Amino acid sequence: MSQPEDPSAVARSRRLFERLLVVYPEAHRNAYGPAMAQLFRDQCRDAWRARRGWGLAALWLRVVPDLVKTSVGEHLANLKGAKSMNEKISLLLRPRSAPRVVFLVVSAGVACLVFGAATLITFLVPESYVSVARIRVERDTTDITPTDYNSRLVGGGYDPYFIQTEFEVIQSELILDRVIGELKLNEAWAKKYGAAGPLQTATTRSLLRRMLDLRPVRNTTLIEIRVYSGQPQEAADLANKLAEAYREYRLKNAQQSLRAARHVSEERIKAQEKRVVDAQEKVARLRKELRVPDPEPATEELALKYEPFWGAKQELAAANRFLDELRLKHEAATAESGWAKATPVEFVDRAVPGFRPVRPNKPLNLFLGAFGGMLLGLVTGAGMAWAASRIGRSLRRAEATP
Amino acid sequence: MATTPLDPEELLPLTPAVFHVLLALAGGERHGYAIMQEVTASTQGRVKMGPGTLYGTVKRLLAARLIEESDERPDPQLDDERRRYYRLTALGQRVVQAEAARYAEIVEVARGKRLLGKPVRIARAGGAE
Repeated sequence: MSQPEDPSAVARSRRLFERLLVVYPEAHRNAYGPAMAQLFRDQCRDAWRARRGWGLAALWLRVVPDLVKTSVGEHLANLKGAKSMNEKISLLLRPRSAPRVVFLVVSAGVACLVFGAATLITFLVPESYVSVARIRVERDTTDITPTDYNSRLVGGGYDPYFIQTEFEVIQSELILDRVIGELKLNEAWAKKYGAAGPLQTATTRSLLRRMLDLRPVRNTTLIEIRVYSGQPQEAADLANKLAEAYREYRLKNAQQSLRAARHVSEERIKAQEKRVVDAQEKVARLRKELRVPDPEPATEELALKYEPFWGAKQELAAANRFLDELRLKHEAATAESGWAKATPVEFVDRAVPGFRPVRPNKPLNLFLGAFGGMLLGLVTGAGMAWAASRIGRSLRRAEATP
Repeated sequence: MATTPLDPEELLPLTPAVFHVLLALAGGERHGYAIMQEVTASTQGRVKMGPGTLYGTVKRLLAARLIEESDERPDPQLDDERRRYYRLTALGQRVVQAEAARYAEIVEVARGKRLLGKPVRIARAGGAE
């Protein structure tokens, strides 16, 4: 009875199986190879009839482990007959097919080992969620710029280290200890890690730093506060609390600076008022001493005949002008609520609990494990196959030499 | 060639693969595919032999002289390809009988302890023998 031609999937499977028979010892392959290939083809036909491609796939999943197990068994059975280690190695490496077998076995073994290790690590590593709070940060500036005859303007101007400095502030004891206190992390984490009593603040701080990742948003004054945790809600709470603690710290600092600046301004006004009083007294004294007439002569005559008096009057006028300037600025700033400057830190996005773990990145890890395993397997297999071919060649040469 | 008769008891217990192959051949000579089908049917699909296991077992059974190759011919029910047929030797027959008897003894003990219910008929696929 003639059979219709096999589907191409069945024919390809048989051809592949015949190639894989190379893993068996030569003697066994010669004796039973064709029969095994014939049986496999029959099984492929049955599988294809039952479930097409899925049936073939299921068959391959059964046959490959059977191939690996029984080929190793046949090789071991061969070796049992050999007496010394040299004989055993010779049995394994003498056949011409040995390098191919070694390549297949080693590359498959190494690939499986590496992929298996990557998979194990991926699924053993505890999952981690991330939550991100974004804040906008500004430098502290005040509308009250301290001016003096010889002062320089402070505030404003570009500081290239500003964001980096603020990163350090956010991770400092000042901010972290506040978060630890408000969220009672010493107690909460002692329970989480099974410690006998509350953790030391230094320990909790160190743990918190490891969970923290700060990033600038390029070309903006935004900072991302990222917190990684095994619990999504904890990550979100920590990120938000850190942002709040930092904002309060900056606000307090800004208010302190403003109070200091106001105090400085008031002191300056007081000092200037005193200078004005001194200048008025000087003018009165010189008027008396120099017997300046009343009404005063015109400016040119005053400057010529009563030069010291004229000079004192100029100084008085300048002092009054400066006093007026200081008062105007002080009043303007107070009137426009310049003192109550907007907070230098503002929430842009509050952190929310993540709904999917970000670590480990399972698909990426598995892909890297498979790709890396394959690459390493190929390289190791090729190296071992090369070594096996050299040894096999010298063994065959030794046997050929009488 | 004179052969030293072996006591079948010396070869017991048999591995499951060996016992299933001998059991399949107890019904008459078969080729590899038919042996595999018989094993699958008699175990209701629980045991499915791959080519490596089947022919590894055949090789060991041939070496132990429990089976022998009988013929190489096509199977009219399959295709035109020639297939190697195997059959039990006299020793193989005695060994499989001894193993079956051993199983029967164990089953009786289990039945006595009420671990087993009534015997179950095993349906054979296609009624092939």
